[in-house]
Amino acid sequence: MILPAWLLVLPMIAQTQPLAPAPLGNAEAWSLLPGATASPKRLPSWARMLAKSMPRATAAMLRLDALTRTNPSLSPRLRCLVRLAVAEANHSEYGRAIALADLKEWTGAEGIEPLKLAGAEKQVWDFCHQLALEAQHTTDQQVKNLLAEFSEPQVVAMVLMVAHGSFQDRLFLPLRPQVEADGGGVPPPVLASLDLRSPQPTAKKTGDKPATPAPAKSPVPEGRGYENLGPSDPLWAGKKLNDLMQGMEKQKGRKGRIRIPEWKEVEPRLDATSSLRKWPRVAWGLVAFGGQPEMADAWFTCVEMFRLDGLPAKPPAVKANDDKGGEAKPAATPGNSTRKPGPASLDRMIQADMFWVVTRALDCFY
Amino acid sequence: MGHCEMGLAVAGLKQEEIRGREGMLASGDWSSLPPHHQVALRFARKQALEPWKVSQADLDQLNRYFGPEGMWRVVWWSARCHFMTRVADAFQLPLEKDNVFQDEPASKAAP
Repeated sequence: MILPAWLLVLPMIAQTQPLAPAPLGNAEAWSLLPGATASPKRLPSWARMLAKSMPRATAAMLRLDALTRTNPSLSPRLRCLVRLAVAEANHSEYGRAIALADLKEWTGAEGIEPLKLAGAEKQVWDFCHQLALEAQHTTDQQVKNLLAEFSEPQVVAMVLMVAHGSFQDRLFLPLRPQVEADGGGVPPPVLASLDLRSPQPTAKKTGDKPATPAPAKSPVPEGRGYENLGPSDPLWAGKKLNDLMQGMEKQKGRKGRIRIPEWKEVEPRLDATSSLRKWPRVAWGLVAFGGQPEMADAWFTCVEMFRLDGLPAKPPAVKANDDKGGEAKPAATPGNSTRKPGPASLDRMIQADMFWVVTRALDCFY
Repeated sequence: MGHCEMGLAVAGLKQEEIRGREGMLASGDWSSLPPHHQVALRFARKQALEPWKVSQADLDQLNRYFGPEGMWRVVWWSARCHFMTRVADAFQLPLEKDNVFQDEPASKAAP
């Protein structure tokens, strides 16, 4: 039976996210990235979608994506296996397409059959799949087994790849970037010299104390008794604050699954501007930077570039009779005195609470 | 979660304020928070547990409160949390006993 052409097109239309930014043309998207050179590389569709609204973060994400997909600590097949395990756990079509495109490019193979894996590869698949899906249920023994087969830097590389895939798939799933059907499929890693530097703070006089940040608070008043949108299901209600406090106390006495290197061991591998230099006693950083300094630094560059993308642009000149409104105040509508609410912003307290909610949802007490 | 507490302390919240905030979030009664704040938290939880089930309605809600560009910043930040938690959970890192984010930079503090 021959299907009508419109029926063949329908699934593609249905997959497009109507709220997502439309992908820009390659040259236009490339030109928006900081420090981009005149000869554009082929950009993945997700980068063409985000280049306008978050150009610095997009550039940083391209770099992290490339470092992850070319990391020399693991064989190309193992890298693809890790990415595929994460994509399968997350039901991520684009994540799967990246893994399969790289697998084909590096090894010539068309796919990986998880049920036919054995030995170390099966261990890697099972661990990475579980870490992506239910990280809190991975076991000490799994990591011990991996460390018996692979070096510490290799195991750190695997975990950072799962971490990156878990982040990336959570962008892909709502964004729904189209898997490139032409030009050879998902573009190869984009390793380009883009400008990912942070602006240097203004020099201060010697002896100045560091500025104390203003206490964080929401710009919109809290405590008014809004309609409750919080969770009431047993999964959430099953743990009270005391249980969570106990979880954190227990985590303080926990023996880690991997050696935490000392600062003096990690420091020589760091760039002069590495973000770990700000927090030299953080175990997370010592392990990640100790095993994979370039990937770990690339991740923190993503976070910093995201922050810079979110800084407000210089405001236009304010008319003398304008309202001095906060974020929740309505925005003016030209030609009409009726005002509509303006969009809320992702302020510091929302960011902090979101992180807390995620750690609570996943029982991550670290 | 321990690092969330440390971050809030660095941001200027007192210990009792941090406990109060955690208690409110843990209780599931978020009615003291404005709707856009609650919508972002609800999205973060859903995306954490079953990211493939994030629906058009969830995104419509984000768009309603945060606008067409701001909504993707919420999605990005929520996704960002999963990089951090996967590393912490994979290695079950011991939580530092004091606030390591209040350290002096390494050039001054470390040998």
